Amino acid sequence: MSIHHDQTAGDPGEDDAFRDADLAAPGLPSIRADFVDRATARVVADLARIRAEAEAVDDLRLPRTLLDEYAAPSPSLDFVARTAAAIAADRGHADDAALRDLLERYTPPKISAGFVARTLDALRDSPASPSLRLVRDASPPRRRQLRRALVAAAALVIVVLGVRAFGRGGSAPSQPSPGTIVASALSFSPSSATTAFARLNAAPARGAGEDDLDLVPLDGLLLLAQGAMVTRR
Amino acid sequence: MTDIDNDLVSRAQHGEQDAIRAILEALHRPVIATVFRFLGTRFRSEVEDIAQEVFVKVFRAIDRFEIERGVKFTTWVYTFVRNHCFDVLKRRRLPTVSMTARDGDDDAPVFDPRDERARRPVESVENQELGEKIEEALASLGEDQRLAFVLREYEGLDYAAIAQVTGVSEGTVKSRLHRAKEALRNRLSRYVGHSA
Repeated sequence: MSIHHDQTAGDPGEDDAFRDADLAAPGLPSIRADFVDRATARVVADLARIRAEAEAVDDLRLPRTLLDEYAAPSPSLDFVARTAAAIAADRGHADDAALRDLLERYTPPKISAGFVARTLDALRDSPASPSLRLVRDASPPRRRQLRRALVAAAALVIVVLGVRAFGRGGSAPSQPSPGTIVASALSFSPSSATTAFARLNAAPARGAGEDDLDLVPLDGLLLLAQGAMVTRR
Repeated sequence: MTDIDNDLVSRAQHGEQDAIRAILEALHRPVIATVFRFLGTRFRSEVEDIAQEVFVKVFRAIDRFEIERGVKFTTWVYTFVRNHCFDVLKRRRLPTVSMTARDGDDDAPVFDPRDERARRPVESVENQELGEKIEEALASLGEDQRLAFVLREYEGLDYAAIAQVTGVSEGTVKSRLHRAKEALRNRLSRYVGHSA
């Protein structure tokens, strides 16, 4: 005989239909057909008892004088002070703990391996980006315009000098003659460039050569006829 | 039942020390008394520590008390008393039947000059015996019945408040009280007849 049967034998609810196999089988045990009826009756009876007791609660009285004999001890004189101090300490610890917890939970964001590459790509693909201008050209726009104007002026001067040299010799030399100075400039103003090239142009007539570098302003570029390039900085 | 002004509660929620102290002044006696009557004499030496733990928990959680919900602050505090007392009993794994401790100095009542009973030693001994009988009778009750009885008869909470503290319906509270009173009347029938 199984333990289950030993323990329930003789119980009012025990019947033959409730076998050990019910417990051994997987899934829920079988439910008796009258389960709902019996449970309902029990719940209703319990509620009725509670209601009856609740209605009669004020009928039962215990003498106040009797109950007062069970007196609670008087608190210590410093109970309030001690408790207030304990509460203050506890709240302080709680605040510290909350802050510590917050700090412990904060972890600085980690930069992923591809972050730099992706950011540079994004900057490259977006010309409107202000930071992209820094990458492409650190020069301010006005300076770029000035540079373009100078280059154009220099090109014009070169053309003029070339034409004059061609005219003086009667025919265009295949190479600049020695002592002819062809100059270009990159970073000085158009007016100073004009002056400089005019003086340079006059220099060969005076027999000037590389010694006339003083004629070239600072940051100017002097291209000698031999193809040598000299800069002053 | 002592009630606490919402403004005082709000100030305590902001951590004002004088508000916290004012609430302690108002509630420490009922809380200590409830802890003592619920847990019994064997916890006499610890009752203040237990009450202090209750208050620490109350003020640790005071930010969660919502004044707008209309629950009395005192009722809310009694829920902490209930929960903490249940925790203490569970932690100790002791039976809740009274041991009526007389066996140590720790259990001796502390003399307090404000205590009227302490100034009448002879009468106090007789009353103490009766008090012990009541305590034994209370200890024989189930914890739920005992708490309902203490809150109703000693602390004067209404049924709705007890229902909030204990988390059951008012009907169940009344039923528990009825049973508690019936059991106490039976146990104290000799004194009930004499006193009534």
